Amino acid sequence: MQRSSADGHLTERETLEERVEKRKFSEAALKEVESTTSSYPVTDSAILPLLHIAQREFGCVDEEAVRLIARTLDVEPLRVKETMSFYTMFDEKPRGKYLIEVCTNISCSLLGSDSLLGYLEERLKVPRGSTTPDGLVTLITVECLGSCGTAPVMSVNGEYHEGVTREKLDDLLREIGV
Amino acid sequence: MAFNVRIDDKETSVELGTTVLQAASEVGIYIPHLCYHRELSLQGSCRVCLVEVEGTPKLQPACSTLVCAGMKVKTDTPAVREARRGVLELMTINHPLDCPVCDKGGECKLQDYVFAYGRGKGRFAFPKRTFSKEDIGPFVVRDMNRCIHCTRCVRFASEVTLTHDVGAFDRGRETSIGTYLGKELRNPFSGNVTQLCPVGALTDRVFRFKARVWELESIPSVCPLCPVGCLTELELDSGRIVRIKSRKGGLSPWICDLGRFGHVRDGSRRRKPFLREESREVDVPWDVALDMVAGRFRVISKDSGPASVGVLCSTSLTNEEFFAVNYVFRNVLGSPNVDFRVRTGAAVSAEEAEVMSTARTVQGRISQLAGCDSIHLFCCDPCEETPVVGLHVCRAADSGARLTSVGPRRVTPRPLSRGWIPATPVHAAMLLAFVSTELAARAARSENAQPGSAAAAEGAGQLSLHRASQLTGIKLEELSSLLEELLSAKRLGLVVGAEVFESPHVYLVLSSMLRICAARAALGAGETVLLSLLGEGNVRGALDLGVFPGALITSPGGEAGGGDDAERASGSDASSRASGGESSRTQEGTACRSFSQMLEAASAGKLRALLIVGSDPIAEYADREAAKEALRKVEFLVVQSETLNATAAVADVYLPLQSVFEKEGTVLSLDGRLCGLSPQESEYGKRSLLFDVLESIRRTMRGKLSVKGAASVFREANRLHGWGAPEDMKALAAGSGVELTGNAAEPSEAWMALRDFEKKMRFEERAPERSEYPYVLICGALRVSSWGWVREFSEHELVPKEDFAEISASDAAEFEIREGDLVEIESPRGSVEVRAVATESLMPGVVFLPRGLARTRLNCLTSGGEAVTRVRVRKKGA
Repeated sequence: MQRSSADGHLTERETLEERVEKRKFSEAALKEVESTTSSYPVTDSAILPLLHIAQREFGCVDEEAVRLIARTLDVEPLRVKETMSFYTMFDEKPRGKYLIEVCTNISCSLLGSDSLLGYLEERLKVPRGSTTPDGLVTLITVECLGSCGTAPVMSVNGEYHEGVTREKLDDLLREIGV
Repeated sequence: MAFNVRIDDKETSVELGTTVLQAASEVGIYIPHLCYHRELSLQGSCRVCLVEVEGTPKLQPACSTLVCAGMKVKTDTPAVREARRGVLELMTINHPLDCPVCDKGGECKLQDYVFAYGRGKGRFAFPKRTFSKEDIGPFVVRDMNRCIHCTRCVRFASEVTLTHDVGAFDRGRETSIGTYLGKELRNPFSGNVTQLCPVGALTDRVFRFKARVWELESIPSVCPLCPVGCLTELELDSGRIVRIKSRKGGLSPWICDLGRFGHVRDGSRRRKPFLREESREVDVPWDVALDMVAGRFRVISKDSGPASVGVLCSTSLTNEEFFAVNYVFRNVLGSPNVDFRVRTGAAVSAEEAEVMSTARTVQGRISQLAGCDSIHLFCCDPCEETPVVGLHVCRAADSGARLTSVGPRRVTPRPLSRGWIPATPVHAAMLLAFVSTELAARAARSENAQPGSAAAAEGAGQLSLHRASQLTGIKLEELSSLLEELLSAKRLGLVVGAEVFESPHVYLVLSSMLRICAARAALGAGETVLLSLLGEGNVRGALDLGVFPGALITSPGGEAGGGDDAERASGSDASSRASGGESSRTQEGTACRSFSQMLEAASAGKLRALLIVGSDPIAEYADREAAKEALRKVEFLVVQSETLNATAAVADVYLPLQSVFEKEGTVLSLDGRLCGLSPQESEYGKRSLLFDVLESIRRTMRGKLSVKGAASVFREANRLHGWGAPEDMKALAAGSGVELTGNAAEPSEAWMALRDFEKKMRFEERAPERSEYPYVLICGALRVSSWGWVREFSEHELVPKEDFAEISASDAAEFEIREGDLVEIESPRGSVEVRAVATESLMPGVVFLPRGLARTRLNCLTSGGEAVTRVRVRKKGA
């Protein structure tokens, strides 16, 4: 339908269409996609593994990747987006060199993860859920990391840091060059 | 297997697979619930329905716990109450608690439960979670802050409409319900989510802030806007409809957006009769206008014979109005000029009438579609045309039925479009004819063939699939796989689009469909459900009550029987001779004329007085100029319509008419269910003003049967047609309608033979790809989700403000036409200017121009005579 407000909007959408058109999996990824999809009786089930492939392949799952997966599996893009937005391991934008994931579930919260987060935001000068302008660090919050006994817990590029304190954070940030 | 369970202090016996919630509701115990909805899959996420089950340490959700033998359930213990209170407190932590300004107030389950079971005072002292506003269209207002994440709307979009356009994004407390990329919610059933939403997160924009729900009066009715006949509940404020909801007991628990919002009219209606005197409109009182109409019709029919008067009605009339029109014109005036098909108005041969009538008697039930293992959609997109039929197709598709379709448009939603063979309507009709004759030939060749079917085999020789492929350009493999599908289905659904009934190929299509039914029966392939979508409004009523020329052969009801009836109804025994005279006079008259023949007669000066009820031939008749010319020659033209339309603007007398929501009466659904309408208040009362006109003609002509109002006419029609409906129309409206059991025809060998009109049919070869007029013009009703019909009452920015036509995305790309560009569509007859809409759903090489646009009229392009209108498209300013 035509939209009254719309020329700008339409142009924007069309360029997205074009970008979607261009987005492709690499040869190697495509093989993996094929073997993955063939191992599920229902195509919807392959959404999650394909999201992992896309995240690895493109460094993030942006709009183009969502549409690519939807097209590959012949499902509505909405289904892919729902799944993608549920999990913390898929990013809409490329993430920084270091990914800091801070747990905010009950044990970590009780032992001060919120104040640690605040401290990190202060040091990195970006709010949670975003990447520093130099692309060095992405700071996000996650659900339980499965180490409640050593709360508060955070993970840097998959490596766990347990019983975190401000001092430990200072050391860590120095190490990664903040 | 049934077993006993005990719920609170009540013992009941239930079937295996019943849930605790259902079992409780059977014995009248109410368990609060939010995410559970009986028409949707189980979710079990809201936890409001927790109950105590003896022997189970923790509380169980009643909606998803199955009962088992000897189960003892307690629904109202301190533990249950405490759990409910806790759940509700958590739900309201982030809820804005803005009941005083929330439109859901009064019918909000959360409000009711918190009032009944809640804590009364919140303890949450932190800032509430909030979401940004997103505008999702003209019908639904989304306020995520009120959402409790029951996901009813999400399940509706994925299980019922199969559109998958509502989803739950993110997780935990951040979960938000929305559309993909925050775009509009555009499907033909979007309004249902406002009725589904248990809280005020999705509310009805059209009804918004109009009234408080507890002040509304609610009456049962039926939707008159399409021939599906969905049961509705009208909610009235001071007698006027403010909201329409679906009602239990019908074909579907859901109604489409047209049925829900299509009642809204802008207020600018002409409501006074006028006469035209020397091209000036002179307002006159009702009785003066009526006397004049009755007088002139009498004088003209006496002077020039009954064939000099006629009537054209529309599908927006009730059965009673059709009956009265037929009685007054055919029986009292003796006129052969009665028709309702304003667009084609084509003459009907005896053979064609027979095909039409057979197709009507074998008409399947809409509900039968859901049980089909294969459905073929012929030139239709049911979710957009007769949406609830579409829902039944969706349900079949969801349970694994295979779908095939032929037509210029991809069927929506996407799961229905697999197996689409793109073809223009003419090619589709040809293809079907060839496929059906091939099937008939197979039936004839089969071992158990009757001798009579040899004729069919002979016909098939000329009409091979190979030839069909040559003519239509559709691949032979596609045709043969379609044929195999039609043959192999155990229960085949055949759905014929409404638009077919506006085309000259309607009889060819119906005859081919009947041939498929018969061939399948002969080959023992299984049951075939043939469902024709017929048209708009009360079209089935118009067909069954016989207000068109082909009707005389099939429906004597309004005709020969009418005379007898008149006499019995009037209670006078002395008038039998007179009434006998009445009906015989009809038969003496000229052969019945279709509307196009009426126009020819008018041009020749043979039709002197014409009553047009509810339709607008100048805007609708295929040949605009011919209609204008002929109507100008009609000496006395009376137009009775809701609005002052193009034809009313040239009428000698204009009379107002109520809308279809303001009249009492009955309508027939396309599968033959008789339903009663409940009218809203109008300044003219509930009796149709058409009865006044017909009654004054009847009185002047001394007809026997009074047609003063719907109730008496209904009684008469009910008796005469053997409907077997309750006498009381109100009772009819309150129920779910009466299934009219006609004598359903069994497929017969005779259907397989080629009809004469088919033998005469000439199929044109494919037009050259690049002719002067390269596109085929496709027309059809405004699609429900195009929102073109919403313009009348909504100024939402997504509602198209201007008239539009659709072209395929690939054609648009080729000619660099972008969405929203102004384009000129030109045929040899004329041209129109509209906004272009590019769509992936149309096949290349066609242009879709909808009917019912505000200004643009299809009949500026068509000429009426030809089967295909070719056009060219030019970008304006290029």
